[in-house]
Parts: sequence; structure tokens; C-alpha cells
Amino acid sequence: MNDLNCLLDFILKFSERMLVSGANLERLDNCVYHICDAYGCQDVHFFALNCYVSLSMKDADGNRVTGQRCIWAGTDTHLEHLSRLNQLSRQICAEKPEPSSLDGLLEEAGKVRGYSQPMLLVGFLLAMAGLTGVFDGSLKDLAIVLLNTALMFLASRFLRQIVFNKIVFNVLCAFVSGSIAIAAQALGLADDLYTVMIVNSMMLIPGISMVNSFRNILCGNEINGLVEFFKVILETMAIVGGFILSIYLFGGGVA
Amino acid sequence: MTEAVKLVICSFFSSLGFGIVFRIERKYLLIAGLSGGLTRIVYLLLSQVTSEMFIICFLSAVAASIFSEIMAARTKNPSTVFIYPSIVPLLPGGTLYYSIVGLMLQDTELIAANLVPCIHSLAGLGIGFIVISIFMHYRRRYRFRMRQKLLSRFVRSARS
Repeated sequence: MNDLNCLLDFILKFSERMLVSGANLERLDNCVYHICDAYGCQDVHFFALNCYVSLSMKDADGNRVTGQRCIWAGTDTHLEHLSRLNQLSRQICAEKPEPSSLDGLLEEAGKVRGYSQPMLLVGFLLAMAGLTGVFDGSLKDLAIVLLNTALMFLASRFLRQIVFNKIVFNVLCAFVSGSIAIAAQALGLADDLYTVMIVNSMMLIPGISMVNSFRNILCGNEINGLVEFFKVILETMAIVGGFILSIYLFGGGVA
Repeated sequence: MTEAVKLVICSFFSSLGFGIVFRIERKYLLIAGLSGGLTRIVYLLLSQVTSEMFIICFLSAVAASIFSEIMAARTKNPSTVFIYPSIVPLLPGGTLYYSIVGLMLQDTELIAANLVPCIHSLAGLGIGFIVISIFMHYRRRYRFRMRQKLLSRFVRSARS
């Protein structure tokens, strides 16, 4: 593989990792154009959606390469990894290492310690406990929210192996969570069903994607912004659908 | 007052929790929590002045962005690392939930009561972040050009 192909291959992999880690398109655009510029590439055309990247560029001798990459992994926000990738792009622009060594640097940047599963569960519990307070839930509501959060966390670890579709996943999680909330209220263990449901839905609602979609629309990435916005609406409808299903089956008012 | 303090503390812990969920580095978790608390303080102060959700969310997002940009510059991280945890407590989860419920049940009253504030909040948050990130982008470009100018002047004077 020649240098230009190595560089192309690296940039496509780098873009995929950035997007999966939660980068917005504006930052990715910026990083890619800077890397191409550092290596003296000309006539660079980079197009990215959250699920697809395409890059075409020429070297100084006029040789053109083009590549695409579909990103099926979806977003799994990992800001430490994103930070490492951002540092890597700066390092590459400053030092311009051999294109054949870039893959090794990318692998190195991927080696982050991260959090253990129990620690992630603690994070979810803390976040949901805080939101219960924000939504003015009682201590009883808090207990049910935390129970639901723990169950949804465990279910998500289990279901991730089987269910790849986020919409189906959201329906299932919301249904289980809603059913537990209704049962808890029927037994007098929760005060306000809707506080429990709304707080638990915040665990599933793709809030960051929602804000990023607006940002994309306002920054000129309208296609991605609109696609992401409709994805957010569908995923939220799936959450509400799961809750409504539990309410229709086990009783209670819808809103 | 007690209610406001409770909201700030809850937002702090919520942002701290989301910091872990979004897997930011351990040493920055406290900053993530503080950004959530600070954003909530701005939100509460603005709520005393106006009831317009767009303005409240816009200015809260501006405050969160400024704080995140300062922290990002100090720690040499992308500002996203601090922005994400700080905005989560502000996301209009309740109004979005009820808007979709209204859409699914074709309840126009429920939609009308929730969809407009939801869109106002989202637009306010989105624009608030963009204003600051565009400002920071031009500031970096200006500083970069100034540095280049100074460097070329220095090289020229050294040659002469």
C-alpha cells in the first residue's frame, strides 16, 4: 500500500472512531482537513454523516484516491477516547509521522482505561438520582427510579448482544420500566408514576443527538441534522410507545 | 431558596453521573459536576427575569459553553468533553415526552402545550452552543494569524 492509500485508510478509520466516540461533524471536518493539509494533500473532498464517511484527495503528483466507510456501530459516547483522538490529530499535524505508522498510533490512542461496568452503573444511578431531584420526585419515586435504572442497565448489557436496533431496544426497555413503575404505584411504593417514567426515559432519550442535530442544521450539515432529528423522534416515539403499551396492559392514565 | 439549592445540588450530581456515563477522564469528573451546577444556577437566575424558554436555554447554553471552553483550553481537551455532561440536566425530557405522547394519541392540546416549549428549549440550547463555538473558532484563527505575522516579522528582522 502506498503512502496516499495508507493516509486514506487511516483517515477513514479515524473518522469512524471519532464519530462512534461522540464527535460532532464540525469537529471531524476540522480534524480531517487539517490532517490532509499537513500531508500536503490537494483538492480534498470530505463528506460525512453520522453513519457514513467519504473522502477523495490528490497528492502533489496528482494521484487521486477515494474511499468510503459505512459506520454501523452507532454512537457509544466515550469522551476520553474522543479526547485521545483529538490529541492524536494535533500530534499528527505537528509531527507528520510516516503514513504507514499511523495505524499503530490509532491503535495506541484506542487504549484507554475507561470505567468498569459497576462504575458505569454507579454513574447511571447518580445521574438518575440527580434528575429525580430536578423533576421534584419523592424518596419513594427515587427508589423505583434507581431500581428501574439498575434493571435497564443490566438489560441493556444483555440485550446489546441480541437486539441491534435502537428502536426495538427502546420499546423493550420502556415497556419493562413502565411495567415496574405501574406495579410500584399499585403497591404504594411510588408516589408519581409520570416522574418515574420521565426520569427513566431520560436514560433512553438521545438528548445529545437531539442537540447535535440542531447544531448540524444550523452549521450547514443539514442532511445529517435532519436524519438525526428524525432518528431522535423515532427513538423517542419508541420509548413513549413502550410506556404506553405498559399502561394499556397494566392500567393507569397515559398523561 | 431551599428549592433552588436542591436543584443546583441535584444538577451537580446528575452531571457528575453523566460524566461517568459518557466516560470522561476521572480527573475531570468534578469539573463536569461543577459545569452542571453552574448551568443550573444561570438557568434559575434567568427564570426569575423571564419566562421565555428560548432566552433561558440560550443564555444557559452560552454560560455552559463559556465554562466548557475555558476548561477545555486549560486541560487541552475538546470542549465537548465538558459540554455534554453540563447540558444533560437542561434537556427538555418532560416536554419531549409529552409532545410525543400527544402525537401518538393525536391530542392536539397536549402537543400545543409541550411541543413549542420543547422546540424553543432545543433551539436555544443549539444556538447557544453554536454562538460560542463560532466565536472561539474565529478567535483561534485570529490568534493563529497574529502569531504567524509576528513570526514572519521576527524572521525578517533577524535576516536584516
